[in-house]
Amino acid sequence: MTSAAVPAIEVRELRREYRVRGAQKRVTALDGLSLTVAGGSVHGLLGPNGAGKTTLCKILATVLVPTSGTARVAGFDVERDALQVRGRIGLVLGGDRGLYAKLTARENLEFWAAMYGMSGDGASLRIRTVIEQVGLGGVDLAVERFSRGMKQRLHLARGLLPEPEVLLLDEPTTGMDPVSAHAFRDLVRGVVAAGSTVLLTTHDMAEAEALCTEVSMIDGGRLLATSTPRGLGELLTAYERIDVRTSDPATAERVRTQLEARDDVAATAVRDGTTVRVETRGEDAVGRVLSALVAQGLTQVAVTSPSLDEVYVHVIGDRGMDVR
Amino acid sequence: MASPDLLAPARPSSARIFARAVRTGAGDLRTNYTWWSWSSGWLLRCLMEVAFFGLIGLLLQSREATYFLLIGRALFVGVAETMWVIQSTAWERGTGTLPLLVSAPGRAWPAFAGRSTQWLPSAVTTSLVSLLVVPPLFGFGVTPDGLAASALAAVVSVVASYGFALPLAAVVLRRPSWRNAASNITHNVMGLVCGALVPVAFWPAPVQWFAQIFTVTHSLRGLRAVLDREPGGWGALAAGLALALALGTVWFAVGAWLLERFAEAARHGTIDIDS
Amino acid sequence: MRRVGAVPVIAAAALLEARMLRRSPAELFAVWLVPLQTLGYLAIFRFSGRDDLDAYAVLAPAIIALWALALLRSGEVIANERDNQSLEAIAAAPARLELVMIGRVAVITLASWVALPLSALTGWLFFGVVPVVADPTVFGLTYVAMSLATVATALLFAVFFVNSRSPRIFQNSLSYPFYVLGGVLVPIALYPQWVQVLSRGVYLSWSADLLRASTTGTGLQGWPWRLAVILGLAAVTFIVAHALLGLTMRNARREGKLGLT
Repeated sequence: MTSAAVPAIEVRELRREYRVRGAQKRVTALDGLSLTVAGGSVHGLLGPNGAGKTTLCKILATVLVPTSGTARVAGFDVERDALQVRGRIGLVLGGDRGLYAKLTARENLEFWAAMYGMSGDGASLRIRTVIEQVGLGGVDLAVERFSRGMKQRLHLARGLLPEPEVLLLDEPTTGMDPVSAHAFRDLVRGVVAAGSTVLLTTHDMAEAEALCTEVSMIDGGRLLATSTPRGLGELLTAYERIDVRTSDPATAERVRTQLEARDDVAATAVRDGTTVRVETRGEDAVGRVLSALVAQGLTQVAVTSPSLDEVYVHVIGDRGMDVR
Repeated sequence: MASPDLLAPARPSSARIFARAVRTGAGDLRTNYTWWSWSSGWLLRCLMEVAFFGLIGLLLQSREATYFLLIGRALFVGVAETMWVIQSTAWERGTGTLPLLVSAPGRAWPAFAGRSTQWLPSAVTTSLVSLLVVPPLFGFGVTPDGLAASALAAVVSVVASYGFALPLAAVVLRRPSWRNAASNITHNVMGLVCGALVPVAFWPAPVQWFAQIFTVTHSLRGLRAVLDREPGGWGALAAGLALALALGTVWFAVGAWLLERFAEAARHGTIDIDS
Repeated sequence: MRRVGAVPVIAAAALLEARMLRRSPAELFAVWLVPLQTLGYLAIFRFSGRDDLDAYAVLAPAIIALWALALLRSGEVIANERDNQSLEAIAAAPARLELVMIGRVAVITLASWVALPLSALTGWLFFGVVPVVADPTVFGLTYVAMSLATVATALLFAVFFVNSRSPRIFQNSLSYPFYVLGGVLVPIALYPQWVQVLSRGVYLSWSADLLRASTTGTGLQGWPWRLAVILGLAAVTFIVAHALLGLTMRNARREGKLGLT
């Protein structure tokens, strides 16, 4: 169990560059990232593909060596004390591969148990427990017959198997159906309650909001901001917008001009000729604008949440977040 | 009502498809080998294979046996390489191009068959070099007659064997995981009975009959007739090569037919073409 | 933190490989082809009227199978983990990759032992070759020593193949050159002197000579030190493989080459 004094994960000015084969360029995956994760928390790393999330996970797991900077997991340096780090972490990279396809789930886990120094009855019991936890109990198929979601759960089981102090989850719910994803969140809460620390990378803001005690937003190998889930939630609702479908361009333009005049509308635009996109401003603005539209008889409306990229465009600066 | 400007697309000719597929195969080859890696890796290994068998003759202390084994294995080595057709045809399944192939308007067999021609130039060269380089190392001369006969035999053997391999390739398409086993078993069985190791007559009658299905049995017999300076050797060579080519053509036709059946089955969904 | 012992890791890796082989026996086709090879060599010898060479014909395919599986299956052990995307997971675990490799390669090598009874059975069924060994002790010890050397060589193959851009070329070209150099069918004593010198560096030549000698009962002089040579070659090969593997993994962690991306 990580003591409260020593952070579970401590990253200082971490850089990771790659030499691209054949070119003179160097690609920077991590650009001076600094981060601290306290023990017993669920820390989210939110960012689009290529932001550097997986690179960070790999460095923390000692699978990749940083170009410069330091990283410590459970108090141990990932380069100098790599063996100590490996014995205390669980890594879940996920995906379709990474499991032994011809073997069953239990046989896979038997191998991994030995890789973590688990043996005998203790290992068997732990394997049974973990299989039940991820909902794969009673499944006697070879992994090659598993669905994508089942494979993801097996990856998770492997990460949980050695009861790690720090669990690194890289996009763990990719490929999972909503029910499994929901069950997964309960699982993570249970793991944390038992004393582990979780670092979770994702590009799904809703998931980050639901699960994490803290969320760091990362892009281009840098930390952009750190927020609480509440701050994230506010971002999501603040950048919601309304799409109004009209019957022809003339009507669209009329509606647009009308809406633009309102105080609680920040911007309007016509898309695809007949759809008006409205960005609102202020609390409860969405509700009021919707009421106004429906009162006019415009019922073909949709409220959409911003994508991660759109949030990022807005995020640095001024949106009422706790910036660390 | 169909627009008069709409032209019915012509069905692409099988020859065109074949030619294109040959180019694809050449591309495969270029990504796998460079001249250097082919000669130092593959060719050298083949020469060593022929030498391996020639050395048995040394163990037996028999010049006759040495020459017999050298010639037999040298011609056979190119034919064995041609059996890679069985593997490369199955590659189409692995690359995910299969659904596209079977839904295209042309016939499927030229695409499969064309791509697999990539082994032929290498196989012919391997056999020819083996026939001309290794026997001299063991103290056997090469005459102009021998050179001509070897060249003819190498080309015909490889081309005819390519036809032989096609039906097997078509069968293996249904079970791609068996392609390595199928290719290896085929060339090992062939090598055993076709007269490369011992004369075909050594084997019991049923095995002798079985050996006749392989095209190399006939081309090898013809080649030996010239190299061993048998009376009427060239006649025997001509007969052997003609028989090999005829047999190879029959096998090729069977193979093309099986490939079309495979494509039919894929279109009808009886085969999972996504795996 | 738990202590990770070497033996449990090797055992777990061995069990992993055994389970995988059991579910795809076609992977061992180098062994299934042995009867055809035995028939071929016996046919050549019998056609020349030499039934005193039966032992040579039966032993050669078994030795070839050991090497062929090392080349074709063991050699791919690391590359397969990488392609399977499980190499990163192993690298992140406290157990050493080398131990995993040893476990898997050991099982593959043991599996190739099936080639010997298969070859002997073929010889007996088709040519009436009586499978009798004059000196079973030396035979057994030699087989074990040869297998240890094969494990070490397989580890070396695995390191080379994972570092190479076209391992297929190695796999296809390292067969017959070593059957010739290793004197697996024709004793190297028949080669020119300069080739014999090269062959002496290949453990196969010492092993094949000793196996033939212990089967026929002649030529067993100095067998203990000949055995020691095989083990010595095994040890040297292992040390080189061990060093290269360490270098490979250090480099892979630096360049990020443990995964596919």
